[in-house]
Amino acid sequence: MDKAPVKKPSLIWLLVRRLLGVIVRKPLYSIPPPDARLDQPRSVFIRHLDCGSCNGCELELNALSNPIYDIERFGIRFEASPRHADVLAMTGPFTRNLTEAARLTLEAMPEPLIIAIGDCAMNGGVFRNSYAVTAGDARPDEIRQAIILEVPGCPPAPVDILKKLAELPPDLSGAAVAFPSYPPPLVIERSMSWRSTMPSR
Amino acid sequence: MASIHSGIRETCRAPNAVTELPRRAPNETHFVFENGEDLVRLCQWAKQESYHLCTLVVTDERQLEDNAFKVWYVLHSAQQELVILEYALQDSRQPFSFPSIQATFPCVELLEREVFDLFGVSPLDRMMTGGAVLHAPYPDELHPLWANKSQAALKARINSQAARQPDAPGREHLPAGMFYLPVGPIHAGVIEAGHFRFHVAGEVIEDLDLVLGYKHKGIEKLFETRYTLDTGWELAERVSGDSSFAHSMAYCQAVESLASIELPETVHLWRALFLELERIYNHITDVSALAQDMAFDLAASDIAVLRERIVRLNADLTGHRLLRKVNFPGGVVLNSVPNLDAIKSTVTEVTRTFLGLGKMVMDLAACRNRMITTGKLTKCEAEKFGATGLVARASGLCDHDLRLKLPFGAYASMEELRRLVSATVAIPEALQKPWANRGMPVFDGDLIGDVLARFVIRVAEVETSANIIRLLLDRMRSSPSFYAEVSPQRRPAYERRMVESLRHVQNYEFGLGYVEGWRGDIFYWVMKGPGDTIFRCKVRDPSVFNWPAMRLAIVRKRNEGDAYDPSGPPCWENILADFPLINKSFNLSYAGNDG
Repeated sequence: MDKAPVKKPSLIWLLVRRLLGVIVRKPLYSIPPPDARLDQPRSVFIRHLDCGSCNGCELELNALSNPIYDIERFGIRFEASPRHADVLAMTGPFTRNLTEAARLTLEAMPEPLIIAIGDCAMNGGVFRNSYAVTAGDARPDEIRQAIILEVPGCPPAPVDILKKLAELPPDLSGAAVAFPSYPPPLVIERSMSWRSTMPSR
Repeated sequence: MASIHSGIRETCRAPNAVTELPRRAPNETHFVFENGEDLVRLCQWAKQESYHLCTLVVTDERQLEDNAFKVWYVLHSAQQELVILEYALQDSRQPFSFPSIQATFPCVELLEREVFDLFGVSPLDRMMTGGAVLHAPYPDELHPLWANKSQAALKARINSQAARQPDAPGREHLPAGMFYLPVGPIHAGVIEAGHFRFHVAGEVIEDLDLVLGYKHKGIEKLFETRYTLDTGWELAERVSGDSSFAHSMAYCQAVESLASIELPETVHLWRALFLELERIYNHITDVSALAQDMAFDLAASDIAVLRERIVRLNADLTGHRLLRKVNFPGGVVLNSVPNLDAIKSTVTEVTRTFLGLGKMVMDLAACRNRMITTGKLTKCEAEKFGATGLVARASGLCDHDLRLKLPFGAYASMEELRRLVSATVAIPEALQKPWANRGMPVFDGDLIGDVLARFVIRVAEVETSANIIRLLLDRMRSSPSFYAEVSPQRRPAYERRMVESLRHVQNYEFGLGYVEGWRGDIFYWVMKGPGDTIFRCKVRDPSVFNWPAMRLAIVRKRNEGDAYDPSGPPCWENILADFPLINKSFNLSYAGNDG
């Protein structure tokens, strides 16, 4: 049996260690970039979209944010809204129950682009041929055509995801893609304006 | 405590209408009921004797000798006893109605709704509404699990019919000042899909509607159509990704009990070791996420690094970070010769650091303030509504653990393991015992069912798991064959033996597998079809029982009096901002629930 007493690390020490890392510009844990292309300047905002995965891909996507992989140092981050995202990271074999939600999410994107993460998202994986999923060619056209990158694996390891993300062009994001004629024309329809919902004086 | 036989004598008005079938295992009894009322009364008796419901299974045996649907209830007692109650729906006036035990075991409700969608059979005493797992895209009365429906026919039917109108949100009027706040099914983060509709008054959550089933993948039908008994593990380990090993282990145990073969002890030891590794990495992930939700990022990221170390240990041992492709009916194989000392030192080191960080989070005033009395599930509620696994233990049902109540594999053969498990929650005197030498003792008085209790029990269980792993490693080191029996060369032999044994099993026999995964108890019911096909495989994830418990922990409720904190507030209530924290402290599986 392990008999060593458990010591609580002091908060001050953790902070000092973290600060030292910042000052000498040496990360505490993180791995070197698995692909040289990741060193290029880049800004990719990813919105995750679960289409019925087993949660394995989510675990590995979450692992990308830990200090070891630290995906944000490559200019890639997970975004909370599809409206702010450059690309959707789709996991799972595309269940019928989520079709409508997935379509609405894609519609809310500035530019419909999808990365299919994991074998399920690519071709249905172990769930292929079930009545409840529309994997592969049976998926709606707008989803199928929007896929620009596929990451195989069940689930793909974080390093594999990073290597694949390195293939994304660095100029994926930005106003040039989202708004071809920037600044966009500012048209607020009267019925959509928030004023119309206010009681009149 | 009374045995199930005395229960039958006490409750059944027509004892001749109950047939006992021969036992297949020493702790397993199997009764066939002809009278549904007797069955319901027996379940009422069983609830009083603190039996727990394991699962509800429905099989479509209309093509077989009984010409009817069958309902099977599986219960287990605290005395390691497993009871199977079988009832055939042979009443020709009501061939689609079964006697419901929902009034006795409320946790069965989600299973009943699922069964209504998949089979079209419903409880005798209630009207059911569909939509639990088959939402608007599916036509009415699809019944995908009927034995005569093929995948192609189901797909043709779904594609040919226009989709139903999406289920409109309820239009019930709320009192003035209250409003609905719908959230999901797509959430703002890397999370699974599920819909919550909060009823809020100001910031307080008055009620919560859970809409699950978005991730329904038709797993049970896939087992029957695409997989066979010896390949079903591939699907089983993808039912819920973070419980891959526990699910595949339960599946393997079900098939092994069907084939009634004995495994070498080494296989049991390795399975227990992997099960505990899975428990460790998941608990660490959850503690990290909880710290993150309390905006304590410093601790969260340090703990996330520990999680990565365990996951990499998994990859070194098995070749897969989430312990997949290592377990199959009949055995376990490893990639290469493992270095037992390296496993031991990694686990010890990670655990020690983790306990320190866990203590730090627990002791920080800001975090305590956030966790204490948030999301409270009292012991009484956990008992009544059948919460299971970690959630039940955090609510004070400290011994609600299948490793103690219905031991399997290595836990059945090794008394020391059970002792270590029961030392997770200590009574002060037991701390003096050598096996209870713990870095972070937890007392049952701490476990009052709030977020802090679930946090604490996670930290404590990581320590228990590390102790178990060390004990298992010591046991392995003492036997020279610790690797010979799990080397990849043995795989063909194990598989051949499995196929051989399955050949002697009669068609439509069933096997049960049960495992205490990190979330709670997982049950697999596997019924053999002709050849090596699966006639029916019922998967019961612990989340099925814990979702209703989570709703109960969130909504506003009267304080019914609490033995540990009699002076609590008049009402337990949570505000909207507490929801992410409570949800994370339960961390239930959407995928496992939706199937």
